[in-house]
Amino acid sequence: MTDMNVGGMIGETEFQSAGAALASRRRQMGWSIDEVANKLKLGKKQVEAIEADRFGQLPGNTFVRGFVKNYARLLEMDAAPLLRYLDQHLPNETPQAALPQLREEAMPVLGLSGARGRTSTIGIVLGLAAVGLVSFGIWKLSSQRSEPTLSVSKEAVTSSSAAPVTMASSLPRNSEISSAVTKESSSVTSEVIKGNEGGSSASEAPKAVDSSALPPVGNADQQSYRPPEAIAATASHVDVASTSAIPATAGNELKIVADADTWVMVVDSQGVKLASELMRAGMTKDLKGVVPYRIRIGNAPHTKLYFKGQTVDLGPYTKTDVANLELK
Amino acid sequence: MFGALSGYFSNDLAIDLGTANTLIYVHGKGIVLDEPSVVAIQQEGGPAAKKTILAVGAEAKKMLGRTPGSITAIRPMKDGVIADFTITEQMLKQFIKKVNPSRVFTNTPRIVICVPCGSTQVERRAIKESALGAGARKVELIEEPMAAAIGAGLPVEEATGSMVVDIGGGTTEVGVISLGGIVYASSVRVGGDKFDEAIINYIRRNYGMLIGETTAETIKKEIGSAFPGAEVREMEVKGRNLAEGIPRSFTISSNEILEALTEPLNQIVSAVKQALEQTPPELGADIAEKGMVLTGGGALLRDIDRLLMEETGLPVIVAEDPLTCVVRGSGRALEKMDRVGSIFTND
Repeated sequence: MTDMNVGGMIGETEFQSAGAALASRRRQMGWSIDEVANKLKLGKKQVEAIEADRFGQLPGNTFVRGFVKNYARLLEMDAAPLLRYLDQHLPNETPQAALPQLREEAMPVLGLSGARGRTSTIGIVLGLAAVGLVSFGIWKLSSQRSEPTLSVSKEAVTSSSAAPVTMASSLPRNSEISSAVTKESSSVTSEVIKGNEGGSSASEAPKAVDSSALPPVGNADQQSYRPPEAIAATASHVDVASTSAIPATAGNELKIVADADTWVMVVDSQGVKLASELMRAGMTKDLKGVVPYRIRIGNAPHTKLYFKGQTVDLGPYTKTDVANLELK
Repeated sequence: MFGALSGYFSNDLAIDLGTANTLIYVHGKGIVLDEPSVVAIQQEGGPAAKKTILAVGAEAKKMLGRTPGSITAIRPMKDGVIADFTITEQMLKQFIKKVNPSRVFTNTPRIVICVPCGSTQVERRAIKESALGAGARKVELIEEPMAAAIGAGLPVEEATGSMVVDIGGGTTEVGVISLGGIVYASSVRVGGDKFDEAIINYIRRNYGMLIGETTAETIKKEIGSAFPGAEVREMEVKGRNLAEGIPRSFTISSNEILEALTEPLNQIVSAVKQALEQTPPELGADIAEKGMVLTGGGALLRDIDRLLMEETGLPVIVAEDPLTCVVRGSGRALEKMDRVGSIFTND
């Protein structure tokens, strides 16, 4: 504490508090509180609070210090000792302790040149890593998805074998759809057959005329519209499960009626050749095995094919009289 | 995680890129740089010759108005915004280099930088790009009234109105703040520079003498005042007599300077009055109780608080260390940068 302030009125011994010092100086100058309040543009209560050191009634530390400084200047006193007193006696305040905690704002930053080269390089590297991760994830995901396809097809197999006749009533209505769908599947199926039976010879067969189609029409799109590897997987799956599936072959009758001489080959899912021979005109063949059947008919226009009691339209599968198809 | 890691190795900065002075606050270190925003550029040969930076800051300020033809000492900031983009960028780069010497493993700093609340989007973007060009990793902008209020220790986060008047070199910012946001803000392009200009014009008009900016600034600091006081001070000034063309000295008094400053001061007063008019009544009542706080170099003008007190009838206090309020406020915002979003402004 300084010995004397600028006014020279308050010695160290007299200096008890900032408020008291100000009040005594004010009285010395013969001013009333009202006059001071008017000059400082403060309220009368605020001046009284300053003089009584009731800092709690004043707006805050910053303002208390400012008011005391202004008051001291008005009374032509040195403000420094008063402010030092305030430093010791003002209640501790952590002014910005609770700055509003708000959402993170992403600042839009223009992609400009300059010293951000390093940052952008890091960004590119990170971006490439992210792309790699994402593509790995997609690959992983897609490889997992092929398994559910298997189970679906298995369901389809059993359902088609279990309810062969019930769909018959809806056939006329759905035949268009089924033919459209099977058209798609034919290409797939034929590829599969070519792949597996590449060595087998082609032959002629009578053309199939009947346009009623694969019985489980509702399932048709599920079953037939699958990528080749899925079909292959299906086949192998059924292969493994064949022991349990054999009893279900009751409804899998396949009937071939040859109107003219035709080569016929039928292989079931277990690879058993149910037929591989030249059928003479007028011959009829009943076959039974484990679906799906892979069928090749050499003279499709003059051959009729019945599956589960229904006629199979060979038209969509026929290419230069040879029909390649798969039936489930 | 990457951001936290790179933040560990970098010194984040808060910059008060002012018209008159640039101050830099480093996270954890405080104010480390306070230099005039002046750059001296040397250009040898023709106008297409390469320019090199001769000096920045205090060193360059000494050269202001005292340079030969090949050197130009310029102030790249004018009216609180960038007047010369390239030179501002270079100046910032030099300042940042001074406070943040590049070391191995040092990352580019994040920077909080102040902008006048009246600046346009183009001006804000220019400031931002300058900082990015000077090597910042990320730049946040904070409006000057907000930074000044935080720096002055006002309770900005409370539901009470606080009014701050920041009189800088190029602009005067008036802001009313409540709940961590700016309720009203206005900016007038009047500040220390305009005071100097007014003094130069006054002396030319009344004395027929020409003085430089540096001399005008000295006069303002020595005997300038905003309100007539009991004591009249005088100062001897040297300048060039316009009629004779010869340097002469003369004496000028504080009352004359007061007269010279009347016009720019009136603009500040009317900006403050307009702010009070626009303030919602509840906040106006808070301000009537607490008054307004003056920050910035202009607050050091003698009796400017008394002028505003008499004009508005409200208590006016000058913040402690008003020159550094803005940068201290920005620094505090920088320290809480990851947690506070609203105090920063969008450009």
